[in-house]
Amino acid sequence: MNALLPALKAELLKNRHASIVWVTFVAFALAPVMGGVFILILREPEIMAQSSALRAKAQLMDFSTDWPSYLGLLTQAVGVGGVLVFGFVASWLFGREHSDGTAKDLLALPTSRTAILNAKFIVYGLWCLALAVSNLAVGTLLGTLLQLPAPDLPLLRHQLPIYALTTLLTAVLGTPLAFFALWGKGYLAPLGFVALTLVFAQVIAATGFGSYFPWSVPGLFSGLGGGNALPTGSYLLLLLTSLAGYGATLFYWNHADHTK
Amino acid sequence: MEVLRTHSLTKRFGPTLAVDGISIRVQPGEIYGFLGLNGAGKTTLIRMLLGLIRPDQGEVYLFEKKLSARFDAWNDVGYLVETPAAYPDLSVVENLQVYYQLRRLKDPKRIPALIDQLKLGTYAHTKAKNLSLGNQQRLGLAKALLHQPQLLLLDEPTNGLDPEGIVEVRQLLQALVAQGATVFLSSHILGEIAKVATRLGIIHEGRLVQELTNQELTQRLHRKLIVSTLDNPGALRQLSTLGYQVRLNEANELEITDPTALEQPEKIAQVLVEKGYSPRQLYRWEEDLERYFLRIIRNRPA
Repeated sequence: MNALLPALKAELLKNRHASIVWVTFVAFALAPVMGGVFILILREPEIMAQSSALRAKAQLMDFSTDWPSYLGLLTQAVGVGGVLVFGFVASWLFGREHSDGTAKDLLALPTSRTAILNAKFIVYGLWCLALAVSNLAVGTLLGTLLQLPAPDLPLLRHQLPIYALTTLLTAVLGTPLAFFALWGKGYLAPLGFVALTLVFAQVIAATGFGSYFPWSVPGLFSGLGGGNALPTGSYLLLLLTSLAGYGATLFYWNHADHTK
Repeated sequence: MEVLRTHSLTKRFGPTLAVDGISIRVQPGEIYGFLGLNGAGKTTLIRMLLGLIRPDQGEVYLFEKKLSARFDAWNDVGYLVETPAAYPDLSVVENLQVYYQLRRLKDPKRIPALIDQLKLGTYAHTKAKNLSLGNQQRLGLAKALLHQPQLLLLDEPTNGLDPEGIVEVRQLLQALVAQGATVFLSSHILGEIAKVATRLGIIHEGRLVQELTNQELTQRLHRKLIVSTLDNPGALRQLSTLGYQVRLNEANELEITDPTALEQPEKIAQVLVEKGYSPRQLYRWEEDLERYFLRIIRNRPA
């Protein structure tokens, strides 16, 4: 803990002026905005008649102009879009040190290499949490402005934990990306991995085996497959993937030859 | 106590033997200059000294402590490896604040004092990405000096600096040594290293070819007296008759390597004038470090 606090302060300092922070928040706000557009279209028959593609999409998603539908959309955005945006955050946080050439300056310090990585993981977790909260806040604001019928308490009690758990399940998948960022010495390897997992997540989920592919699990849990219940093995597999990613990251950072 | 010691340090990358059995010892207060061509193994060696690369064989000792994952004296070591790097969106002050935290320092006045010492005051709030190469190098040096280390490991510390900056760094290193620090620096700028180092190590193809003090270097440098007259072959015959070691070089000048001639060149001038070979030019030529270095690595048995 003695070493973690200065490492955390240093990590927060590093991100002080990073424009990438705002880019991720803007990107993540697209989902609630899109939900708001669906609500507008479904409410206005004239616009609905002109926007056949969006109407078809809204109907395909079984979207209706109420809070359960809107919160469901936001949750699914975290489960699917989060893999991309959280993945982008992890790629940047861990890959930037090599891209900026500063990795070599972090390896012979009184603050241990492990503490520096743990500080990065904490900042990553906080960043993902802030994105999820902002997604919810923008959604709440838009839903209120669009005068959706007032939500009832049982709905919130049911939907908010699913939202929180979807965020957690998506965020913990960032650890393998940290490894790829260090191993690939930059952003490219982890971003390539994110793109691959997104494609595979869609294909594997479509074939019905998504519950056994960790990167499909958050999306399925969020309700994309029609329900939230998944076999216990799905969560275990996801947890093992995350732990393996964390372990590999620590091992590589502590034991590999740092030639760049 | 030796500040730095390596024993048979060896590192291989695939088929390439980057560092081959290097053993060096650096005493407190020394400025140890490490000379080598690009790719000779200098940076690999410095990275091994910092634990960034694990040797295949051999050990590193810093302050008599064996370098391992448990080594805990990193605040006694400052370093600058290859090109200086900084967080591009952070200012000079903010970049230093990052390392102030990571080095767990407790002296808030240290950053402004260091910025002043390295003449970065004008750029204190300039983002690193907008700094010139020379000022990026100063920022790199500031990071290395932030915690007032006992040992400085510097890889090409004068890269990108203008002549004034080079002189400042030289004076800075000498001042640090006067205050009790030890410096280990690598460079391919041989003239610069010759001015600052108290001891030199020459590395070639991963091997330590020669290690010598500044005094030993001075003794080993080739010296000769270069003389030119209107009739150099005639002057050559005359000087040879008098017992001097003399030859005609490729430029058809007389080269005299006789130690007595080097000590008293005025005697050569006097003899030549008396014999009717008045010198048109006469000067002492001394091999510089660059030529010495090339002679050493070229004459080395394969």
